[in-house]
Amino acid sequence: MFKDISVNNQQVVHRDTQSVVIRLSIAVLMAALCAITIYVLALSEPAQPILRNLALAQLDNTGVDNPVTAVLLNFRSYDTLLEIALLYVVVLSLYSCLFNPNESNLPPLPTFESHVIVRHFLRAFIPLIILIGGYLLWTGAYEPGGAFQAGAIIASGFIVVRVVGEPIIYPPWIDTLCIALGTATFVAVAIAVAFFEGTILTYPAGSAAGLILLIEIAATLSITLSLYIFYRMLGRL
Amino acid sequence: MNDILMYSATGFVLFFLGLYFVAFAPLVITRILAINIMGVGIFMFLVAHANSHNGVTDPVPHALILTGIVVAVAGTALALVLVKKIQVLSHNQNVTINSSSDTDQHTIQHTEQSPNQRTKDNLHD
Amino acid sequence: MINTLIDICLCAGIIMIATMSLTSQYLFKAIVLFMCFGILVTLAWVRLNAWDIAIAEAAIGAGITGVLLLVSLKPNSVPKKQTEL
Repeated sequence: MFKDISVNNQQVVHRDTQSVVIRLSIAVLMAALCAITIYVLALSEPAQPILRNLALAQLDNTGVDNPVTAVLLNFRSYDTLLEIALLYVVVLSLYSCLFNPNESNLPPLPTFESHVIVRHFLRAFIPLIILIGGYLLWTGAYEPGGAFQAGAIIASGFIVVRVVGEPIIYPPWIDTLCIALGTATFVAVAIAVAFFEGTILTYPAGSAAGLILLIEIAATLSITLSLYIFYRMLGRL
Repeated sequence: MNDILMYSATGFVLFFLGLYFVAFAPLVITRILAINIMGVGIFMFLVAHANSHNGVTDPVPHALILTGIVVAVAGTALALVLVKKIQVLSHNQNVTINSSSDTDQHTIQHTEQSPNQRTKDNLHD
Repeated sequence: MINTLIDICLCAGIIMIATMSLTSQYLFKAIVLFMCFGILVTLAWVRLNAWDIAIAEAAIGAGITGVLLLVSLKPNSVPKKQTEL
């Protein structure tokens, strides 16, 4: 099944009769499986919304009004902690893939003169993107929005600037600091809270809103830099 | 209820479509696309069922999927960097990866050097 | 009635664009169709009242994933030491 994959973006076609028969039979099998699953789904009753009722009943104690943010950063904050840690690990593994001491250095991402219209458009556009990101971060407590959306939108603004060829110049320690900041803040809050409440990531009454905002700001910086580094690394390789 | 079933069915179709192409697509980047499409299928099933209780949506699957989207993009970036790394390390233009368990050798004919020799060259560097 | 029609068109379009993207012979076409797929899926999230996910999918699924895939299509910049080999 996983016999031959072309890595170099050029298709190599092997069509002998055996592989065609195998492909067809597996396609028929998957279609049948899909049809059976949908049929079973159509017959079954939807499950009782136990978790939803629990979450909505406790919403007043979470410090935020948006139920999704409450689940992300209060009820199930373990998941979010592990997710930020996962982004950190992926960035570290990208660095270890690219900067092998046995190889010579990769050339930097090229910069070139962008068109004058693009440059002036971006000059007005980038502050707006950052403003929208900040708005989404702040409004995540009340309405749809939050750290992930804010980080993704600011990162896409950075990527637009880089795609048209303009350089983004900042000292390299900002990379190191901001990637680790999300995980570090989250773990620090988790441990600090454990001294007062006895369990990890159980916020003391009344301080939940401030702590959630602190974690969200750190997570936004971390996600922004991580996504931008993904683009930069892939462009250099 | 009807539209929920429709979106769940779409999710399942996307999942099985992605599964087929993860197994059989000829290009490695198409397989990465297929994994992403599989993920979207699962997300769509979960969101459709979060919506199924008379108007009030369930926030727990929404939070789960928000996490899942960011994890998916991280996984895609890692997969792409590994693919580029393989391309750089094998600067032969027509490399196909052949799994070791498979005994028929017809894919190796497309490479100019044997895979062992190539690995040795890179280790030498 | 009109809502059901929109749902049917959206589901059919999502499956169609996913199939076109995966069966395409050219990688550039496949990736651009994948970005279109992300935008259609964003509309599906909006139809399913999942606004948080719609914002994230529009920025990440349709935008950043597509850019990462497209930038990985550019020819490799092989390090100097490797080319001298």
